[in-house]
Formats: sequence, structure tokens, C-alpha cells
Amino acid sequence: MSPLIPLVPPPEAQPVRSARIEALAPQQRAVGDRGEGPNVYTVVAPDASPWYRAALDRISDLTALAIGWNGYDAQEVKADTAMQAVAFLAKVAYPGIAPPAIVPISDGGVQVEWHRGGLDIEIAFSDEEPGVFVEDREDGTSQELALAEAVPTIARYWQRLRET
Amino acid sequence: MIPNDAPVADEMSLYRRVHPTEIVWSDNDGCPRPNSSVFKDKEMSINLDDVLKDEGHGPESAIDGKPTHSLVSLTAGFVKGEEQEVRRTPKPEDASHGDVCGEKPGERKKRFARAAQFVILREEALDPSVLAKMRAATGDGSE
Repeated sequence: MSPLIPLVPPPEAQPVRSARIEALAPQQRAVGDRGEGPNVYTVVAPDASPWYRAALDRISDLTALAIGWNGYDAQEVKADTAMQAVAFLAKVAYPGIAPPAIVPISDGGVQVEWHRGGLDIEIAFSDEEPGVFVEDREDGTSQELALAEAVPTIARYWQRLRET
Repeated sequence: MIPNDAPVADEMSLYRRVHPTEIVWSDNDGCPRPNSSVFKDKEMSINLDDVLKDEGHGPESAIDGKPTHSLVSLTAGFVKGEEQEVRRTPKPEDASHGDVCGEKPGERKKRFARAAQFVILREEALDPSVLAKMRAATGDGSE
């Protein structure tokens, strides 16, 4: 038995979890001095991992960022890129994996990333520059992959992304 | 007044604002750092240190009116070494404005993120999880 076989099944072998995203009526959000806020997308995530719900809340919060949120000319986080990130997390957010950082991208995208285990993994859900970037500090390699490789990448490196 | 075509010395600091949501914790480095996408734009806005000084301002003026933003710096020599050009592009409201121009693919963005040094880190605006890890790493348990 390979020592690399994970203690829990890889993402593709996990039970399918569903994430339902509801676009509710526009609500006022306390974002800077804006007169009105964006639509708020409330995510319902049954059977979540310990951090899944918090991650979805984080993405929902990012959709409330105003144009120019980065101090320059950033766009609002787009609903479709937010939902792509949600769908990805539903496939990889199982117990054992450490929670990722989730950050907005100035082009309206969302980036999910891990910086642990000697790995820097960044997965960009973006209209302009979607893709996966992996840097392995242990062997000094880096690679840029298509977004379709996002889930397989996490499955490949699962053990090094575990919570310690 | 510094002319727009004045050369940009390699040792000059270039300042870039960073929103708190763009600051992540790196377990690999044991410190917070700006996310690589902060440095993605082909024409990336910055503030030039020599113009700020010439106007009697410090770097903190680059985040005037932005109470939650932090500020990072890169040296002009570093970005030039990454096949970038530093242009002085003053704006009516911001004489120190400039652009770091050039392609910034994945690896380059990451090098920018690693090279960036926090000049001002507004801890109170950080994501609580980032702040908790930062305080745990520094042994600072204060609230």
C-alpha cells in the first residue's frame, strides 16, 4: 500500500455535495460610503466540511465589494466567477484539507489558494486569466495549468494540504 | 518638480495599495503577504517615492482616505529586472502616480508578491484568520 494513499478518499471519490446559490433581493450593505450595495448571494451548503460554510460566506462577502475596492479600478466580483469558485470548493472541501485563502481579483474574479506544505497553489476563476498555478518549493518546480485541472491538482497534492 | 521623463533610479521605492481582502497568510513563509493578483495588471498603478518626497509627503500619503488599505513597496530595480518599464504618469489629483508596464504571467506575479515589502500593514483591517495566525507566529496574543 502506497504511503501516499490519502486517509480519506480523493475529491472525485467523495459524496457529491450540492451548493445552492440564491440571489435574493438587493440589500443594503455597509461597504464604505456607497449609497447602495450589490445583490447578496446567499449560499446554502448542506453536508459541508468544517470550513466550507465559512468559505461560502467569504465568497458572498466578496460579491459586496464595490467597484474600485482595491484602491484603483477593480471591478465588482462577478456572480459567475463566484459561483465557479463555489462549485470548485464543493468538490474539494472535505475534512482534512486545510481551509484555503479566498481573495478577489481586480478583474471581477475570485482566487482560491493554499500556501502550505511547501506548496503554493493558486486557482483563478476569472474571465480574463483563468487557470491553476502550482509552485512546489520542495523540488523547485512550477506549472501553469488549465482551470479544468483544478480539482485533479488538489487531489494530487491532497496530503500536503492537510491541516496540521 | 520632477519632470515626467526623469530617469527612475533602481533603488527607488514604488508603492502599491493593497486591500485587506488581498492579504493572505503563507504557512510556507510564516508571514502575511499580498496575493499575487495584486500585481497582475499590464499597466500596474504605483506611486513614485521621489515625487512624494519632492512634494513633502511620506509613503503613507498613498493611502490617504483609504483607512483599511495597507501599502507595499517594490524597488524600481526589481521590477526592471522582471522586464518591466516604470513610467511616470502623473494624474491631476496624484502627481506621484506611475505605472509598472509589462507582461506579468503567473510566476512573475508570484515573484512580485514575494518581493513586496509591507510599508504599512493595517492589522486591524485584516481578515481575522490572517491576524490570528500572524499573532500566533509572533507570540503576540494581544487583542
